[in-house]
Amino acid sequence: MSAAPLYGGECHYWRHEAQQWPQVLADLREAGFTVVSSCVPWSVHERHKGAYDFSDNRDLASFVSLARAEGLEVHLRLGPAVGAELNGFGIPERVLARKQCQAVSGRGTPLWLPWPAKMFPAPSFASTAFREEVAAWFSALGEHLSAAEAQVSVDCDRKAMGRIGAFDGDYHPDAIEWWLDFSDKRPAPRSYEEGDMQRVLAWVRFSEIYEEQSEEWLREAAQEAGMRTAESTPTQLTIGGAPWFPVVTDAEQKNSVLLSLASGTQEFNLFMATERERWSGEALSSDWLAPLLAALHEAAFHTLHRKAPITIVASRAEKRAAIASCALEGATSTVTELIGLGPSGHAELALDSAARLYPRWLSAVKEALDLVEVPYRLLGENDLHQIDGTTKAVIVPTLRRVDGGVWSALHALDITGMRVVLGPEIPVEDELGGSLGDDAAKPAGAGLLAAESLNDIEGLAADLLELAGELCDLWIAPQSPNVTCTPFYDDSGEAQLLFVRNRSAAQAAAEANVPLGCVLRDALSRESSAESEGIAKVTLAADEIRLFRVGREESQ
Amino acid sequence: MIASDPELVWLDRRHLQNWWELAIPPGISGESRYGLLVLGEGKLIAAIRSGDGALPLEDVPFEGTGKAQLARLSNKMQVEGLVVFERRALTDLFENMERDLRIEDDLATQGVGLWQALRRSEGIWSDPPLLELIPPLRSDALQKTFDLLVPNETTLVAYVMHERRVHCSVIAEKCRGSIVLATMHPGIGDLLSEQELCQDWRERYDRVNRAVESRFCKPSISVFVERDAVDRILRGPTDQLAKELRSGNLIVDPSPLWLQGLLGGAAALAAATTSAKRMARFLPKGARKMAGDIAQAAGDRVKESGASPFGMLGFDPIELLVRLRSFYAD
Repeated sequence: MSAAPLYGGECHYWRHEAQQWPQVLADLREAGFTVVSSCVPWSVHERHKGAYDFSDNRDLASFVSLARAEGLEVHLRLGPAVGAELNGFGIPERVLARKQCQAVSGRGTPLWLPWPAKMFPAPSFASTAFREEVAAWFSALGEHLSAAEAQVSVDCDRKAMGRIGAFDGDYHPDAIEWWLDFSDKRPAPRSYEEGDMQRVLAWVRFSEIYEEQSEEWLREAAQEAGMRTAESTPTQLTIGGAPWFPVVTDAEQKNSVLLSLASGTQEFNLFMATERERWSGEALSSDWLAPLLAALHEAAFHTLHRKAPITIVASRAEKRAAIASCALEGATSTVTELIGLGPSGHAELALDSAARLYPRWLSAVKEALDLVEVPYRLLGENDLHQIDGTTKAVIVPTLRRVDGGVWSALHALDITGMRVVLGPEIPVEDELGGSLGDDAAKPAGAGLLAAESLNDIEGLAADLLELAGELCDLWIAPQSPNVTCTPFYDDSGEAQLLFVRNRSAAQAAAEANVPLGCVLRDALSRESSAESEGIAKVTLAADEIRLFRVGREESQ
Repeated sequence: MIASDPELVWLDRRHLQNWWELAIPPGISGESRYGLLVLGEGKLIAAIRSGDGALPLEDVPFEGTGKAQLARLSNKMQVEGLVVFERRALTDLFENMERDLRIEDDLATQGVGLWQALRRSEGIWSDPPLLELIPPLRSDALQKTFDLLVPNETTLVAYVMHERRVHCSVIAEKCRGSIVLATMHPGIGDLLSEQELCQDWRERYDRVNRAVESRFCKPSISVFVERDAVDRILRGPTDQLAKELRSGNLIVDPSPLWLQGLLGGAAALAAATTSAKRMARFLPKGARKMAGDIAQAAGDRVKESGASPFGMLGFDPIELLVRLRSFYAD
């Protein structure tokens, strides 16, 4: 058995009375959480410049001690832009009001963020003035937490701020200094012109580097203040919502969490776990949460694995081109993804046709694999090291562009004999619009997706099924094309948990092939159903996912 | 109008969901489709139909941005609404907005600034022509009107009832000119359970008012209404509001004189305010007569104050409401 799983529950200590903390922490522990997480908002602690309040319900060190005594790990997110439905995302107004600390848009104005309870200008993470302010805050916090057993993480999370159009920022003079270093002294672009794609692509790539550099600096600042930074942060799953967003129903919420788990999220932080102001629908008020965590603990979910013979690699090259060539300047994916433009989401607005089509290809490949119940995993371009001996084929949808690093890795995989499938087009440019150099040719053994497959998902599915090799005929629902089974196995190869998902908008009565003598027990309702002649019957509501504990008849 | 850091507590998820459903006109929710066009110096460079995504430009018979032209195009594209942007219109709009925003202002003041920038914006058109609905508004006028209509240290209460349950609710507390707290029925749930209230809400609504007063402040306006009545008012004939008042499906108690005037005495007030003339469209002739006394009193107060309730706003919100009703039509 490996170390305890990291099942985190978000609890905002300052939003409770200090006397309530023991009960709240006990509730979290009893529900099955192993970690209590919280952001640490600067504005909650800073009374005025240089004066910090760590008393009463702001006494974070005491909160950490109580949590440790309750047997919970503690994870603190320092931000400094923590969100949490706080004004200024938790950055003091006096800091945000300083012009030297503000991010600058491509139009030379402050970059305002339209969040309740009032709008505020985004900070510039490159700004020296802002960094000095952050360093002072971290220093005070580090001193307060000097004896506390907590891990901290930092981020600049520009995506959460919502202004991530290509030319939204940051044009702060200190950020422009970074850009000049990155771009060999080229002027920063402020709009998209067709003949200037390389420079605009570089600017979009630079915005990612800006975040990476900012987070690196923040991490170092936290460490210098004596705080222990976490190696990684668990995936955050949202439970409930702020009142200014449309409400997600409890059933949708449950399905969303189960879908994340079925997709491979084995450790997580549920945001929010406890009741608080400016939020409704926290995890502890859901009747499905405790049974779910109990089932995950019982099956040691964090040690299980799923078999995925196919790996899909999503390259960011075309996504950047979509951001760069967005027809409606100033439109941000934070909004356009919400309003349902079409199958390619925000990329539907791209003037570059390859960038516009790319998400459709990615979706088509996933849909085709789902159709024939071939398990797959989706990797980002920085995760290719995860491809191992269990992978039988790697599919990388490509059109005009591909990340240079991904392209080299595909050549290397091809040489090892791994089956690689590209296309429908052989890319001709790298992620910055430059040449692919000596490796421009397609990897010798690589196959190509047929151009007509985009509108022939069944044909594509048949082609991709062949790539997966011989599949186990268990844990599939062959008569129900919209139902997918995802088993998770222990090290001995025994299935311990089974997710069954209905991808259609109609109720489904699926018959899943299961081992003889197998009993499926619904992890949430505790209802059991035994197999009959190797078939287990599972009914699912529209779009529902159910989680089953897999057992044998004699063990029930 | 809105405190810089208002408390939003005891929020009920079901109530929130139901408020969203009530607020979004049926014409723009669910399966309705819209079109989004982008122009580069007047020439079509991108066209999207929601759900379908980008369309081939040759399939979009774009003629121009005139009202009739856009209405024709909506019809041809088979969409319920159409928005057309010049390529840099959004960035120009953001620039105008961002130059004037101030961090020390409250959300209402900031919002008024944004709406006015949107109203002045160029290069944005829509079908139906929604931008025309944006009234010329000043934040100081809005604040003064709010102060005139809603006294400090009072609460605003709204409950919508449906099938013997509280469908949605809100309780908002005003202090020092601003909404400082907003909550829902759970905020008084320990004083009056939802079940108890819903056994006969028409008889027991006053217990809500008393509970709100004991926990927060005395209500200055409390509205209790059946969910179906809301639909009928929004979509029915123009005198539906009065019918629902008479039948007890809508109760406004307490209601200040200015509201009584608007609700019950539109005819008498017509001489004093434009709003009342608009409001009179909702009322049957008999109801206007019956409400004459109250209306006269309200009218006198309005006249004494030298202004209609909305006189300072610079536009007539009732006229705006009348125009907005068309979006709720089936």
